[in-house]
Amino acid sequence: MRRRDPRPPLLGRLILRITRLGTRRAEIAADLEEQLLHRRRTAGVRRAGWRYVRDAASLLRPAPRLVGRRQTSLTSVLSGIRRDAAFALRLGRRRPGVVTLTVVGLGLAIGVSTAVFSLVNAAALRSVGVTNPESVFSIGRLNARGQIRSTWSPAEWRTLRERSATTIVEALVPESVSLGQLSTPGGGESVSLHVVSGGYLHTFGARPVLGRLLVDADDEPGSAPVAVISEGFWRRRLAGAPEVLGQTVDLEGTPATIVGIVDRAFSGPSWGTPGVWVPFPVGARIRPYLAELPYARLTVRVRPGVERAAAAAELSALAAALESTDSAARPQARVQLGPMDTRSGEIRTIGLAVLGAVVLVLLLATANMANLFLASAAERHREVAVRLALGSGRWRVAAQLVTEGLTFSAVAAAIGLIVALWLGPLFAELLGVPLGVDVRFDARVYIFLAGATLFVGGLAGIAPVRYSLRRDLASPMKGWTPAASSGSPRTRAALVAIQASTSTLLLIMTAILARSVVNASVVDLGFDPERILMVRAVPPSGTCDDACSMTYARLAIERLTGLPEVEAVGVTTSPPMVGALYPLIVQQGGGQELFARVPASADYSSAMSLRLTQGRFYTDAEARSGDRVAVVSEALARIVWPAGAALGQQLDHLSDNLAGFRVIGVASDAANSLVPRLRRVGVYVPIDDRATATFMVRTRSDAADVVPRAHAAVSAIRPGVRVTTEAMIDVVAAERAPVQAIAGVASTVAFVALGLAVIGLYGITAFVVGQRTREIGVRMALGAGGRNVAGLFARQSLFPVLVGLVTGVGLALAAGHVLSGPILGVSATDPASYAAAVAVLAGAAAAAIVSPARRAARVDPAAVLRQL
Amino acid sequence: MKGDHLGEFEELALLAVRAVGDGAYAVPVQRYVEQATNRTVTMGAVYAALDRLEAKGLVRSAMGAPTAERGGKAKRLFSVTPEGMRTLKYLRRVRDRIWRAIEEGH
Repeated sequence: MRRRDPRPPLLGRLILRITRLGTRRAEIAADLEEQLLHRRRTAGVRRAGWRYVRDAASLLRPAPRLVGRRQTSLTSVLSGIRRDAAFALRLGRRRPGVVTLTVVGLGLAIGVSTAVFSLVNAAALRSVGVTNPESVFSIGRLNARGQIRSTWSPAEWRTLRERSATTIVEALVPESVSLGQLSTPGGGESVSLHVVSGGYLHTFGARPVLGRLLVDADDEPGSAPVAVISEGFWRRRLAGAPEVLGQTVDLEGTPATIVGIVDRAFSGPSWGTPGVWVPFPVGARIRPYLAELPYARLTVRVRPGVERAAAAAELSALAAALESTDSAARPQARVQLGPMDTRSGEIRTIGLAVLGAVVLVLLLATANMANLFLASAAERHREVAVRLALGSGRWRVAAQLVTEGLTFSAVAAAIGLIVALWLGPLFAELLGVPLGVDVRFDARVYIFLAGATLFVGGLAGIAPVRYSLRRDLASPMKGWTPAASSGSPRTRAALVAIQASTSTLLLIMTAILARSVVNASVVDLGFDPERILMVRAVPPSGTCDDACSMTYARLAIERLTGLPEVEAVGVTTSPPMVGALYPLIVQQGGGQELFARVPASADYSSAMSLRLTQGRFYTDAEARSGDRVAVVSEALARIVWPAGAALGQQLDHLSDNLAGFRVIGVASDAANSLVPRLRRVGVYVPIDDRATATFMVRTRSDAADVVPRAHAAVSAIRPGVRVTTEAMIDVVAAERAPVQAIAGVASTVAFVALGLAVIGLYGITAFVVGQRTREIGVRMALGAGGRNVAGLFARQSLFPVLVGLVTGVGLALAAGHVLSGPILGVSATDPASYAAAVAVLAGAAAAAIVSPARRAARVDPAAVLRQL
Repeated sequence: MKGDHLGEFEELALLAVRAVGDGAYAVPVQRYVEQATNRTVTMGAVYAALDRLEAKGLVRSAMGAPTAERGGKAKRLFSVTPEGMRTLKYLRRVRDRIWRAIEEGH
């Protein structure tokens, strides 16, 4: 059997291939082959093959020493990285403009993302903050009518706590107080306050950062007034100063000594993280009704080894005993153990949506960096080819490219960290993150930052690797610019398309939000919020029957009307923005218009100064006798009776609730809610005065000035009734605030995105022009005009943008429902928003392309031809 | 590493480079050591030894011009440096004196 140029044994070849021989591979392979041939002649084919395998295997072990003088110790790897990084920075100096823009853009993107992430992290991702949450339950009792009551009186709580063997029962009343000026900064600011039982903090696993927690002894009447504050409140309002221990905090005139600061990991089983916890004796001094009335919410920790059902049975028996000592015995009363309130799913959803946007921005930034590197790879193909030809390993060159990516992203991360540290607290204030929540960056935020940096830098650095490491080394050395190398133009076009679609999506979302902000601030409320006061008086449930409620309401109206500053007092169960919503949907053409049905007293019209365009408002007598008369709004009348003959019409066809009602007047339009969208009042129907309603007080001057007097007047009627008094202007502002805040954050994100997209487009077009200089020169030498060339580039660069725009619009349509929460009076498919976003992006893209395209038109054909 | 001292195999490889003379590269060095000592020598050991010798400055190497005999593939040619020669002679002198002491007794 004649074998020509017999090949070494397979095993030997395999071993040789996986052995790291570096630059000496060719030489060593030749040596081994020579030995093989020689041994075949002297010792036979089998023996020669066997020796070949042994030789190959012998190269495996001493490999590191074989690769020239290179060492692979940690220090040498590090110094290699340092050299690559320094090289990257030198390259940056060569293209300062584009590199600076890209790196700063990336820094902004990382900064905004990290800031947003820190808030999402603080608000939605941190754990519930209770130790062993599976044994914690809230308890409520079913009354005779099958309703669950979740509030208990202090006496009931004490009895349950003393008698329950299976559980530890703790009590909580969530309140909100304004801070006095006494010795704490931030006076006048409102802070959420939890009035809790002494053991509450300890039972649910709070730990003090400084000082101590509340203890059972603090529950004793006559104990020294103490308060414990949250770490978030301490850091955000008290500058984290340890001296606050022992200082006095003024809680609406009640002083309490700060004795401890609770670790931020603790949020409590429900009701969010407050700024301040106080024991019941202090709480009762701030809010006297807390001493007696059933406002406490009870949360239990089931003792280890006790079944939930057993605990529920025991508590039911105890509760039944409580009830039977009451005047109104309800033997069937039964206790339910409910799951404790965890963070609402809604916050989590919003948080995840925001994180989605943040990831998009990071992708944009990555695409930009990748662009930059593709561009520089094309310019540096010669350098890379020379390195490879001189024996530099492909891995070495690839490692260098990735290191460059990481170097730039590390610089960007430094910028990003500064931006994030500045933006984070700003966003927190803007979005009204509760004061109790500590928004400082924790380890997770830094991990996010590091992860984002590695992701962006690594991905961007890898992008040009395939392109750079082409096998063909000869062409670049001869000065040939690689014409469309495989995959690369497609990669770039895809990058542009991704950028364009991402920024289109973000811009559309922002445009929609911005429009809703504008709507929220310019929408005609139909009443003057500066001169309206809302007073609500809620007697504890079960302590005031209908008759009592009616008497109370009449007294309240009397007292309020008696104030010299007050013009009129109306009553409604559906005050604007905050009251009960009675929806009234009117079909209009193919769509439907949303209205509200507002039950209101006869004086409501004068309190809100509604204008009657037709007919009249109903009278007090009509309201009390329960006449089925109604007043409709102009907007509703326009839709239902376009001819204008609203008076005397029956309302039966609008809603079952309106059966038998007859229109006796048409009133000017008024808003009933702004968020999620503007909803106007459609119809007013009479109610009688009752205490569960809200008193709308029209004042002669600025309503805010009347708040204290109105509050005092109503509070004096009956002790124990919770009275809240708010100026309408504040209510409206609070209604608008979330939309404005979200829009503010969203536009920051969107403008960073837009900036990134423009930088990216500019970079890519400039790159393509640079790469095709030869082609342009030839075209122009053959007679193409500057305009033709510029036009060609503009068209070619804009095509992927167009693709991106279309994709972005599609994505926005698909994602529209995410926004439906915060949107205000703007459809998620609002054409104006879409048009504006597309126009802005297309304009920005065109602007980004102009300068490189003009540069293409200025290429000197003679200079190019000389190089050929 | 054995510092500046030569290991036994390194000494053999260094001697082989000198013995092969001009045109010494890994293949003839391996054959020389294998035949002289009558033991199996792997190529890996030869490369490692030559590298160590070069690192110690006892041999130097250069890529030789391609020759027709193995398909034009280049080989790395080694030669012993003056320092290498000095080391070899020193080792030999030390051994000779020890042997003399053994043979002459006490």
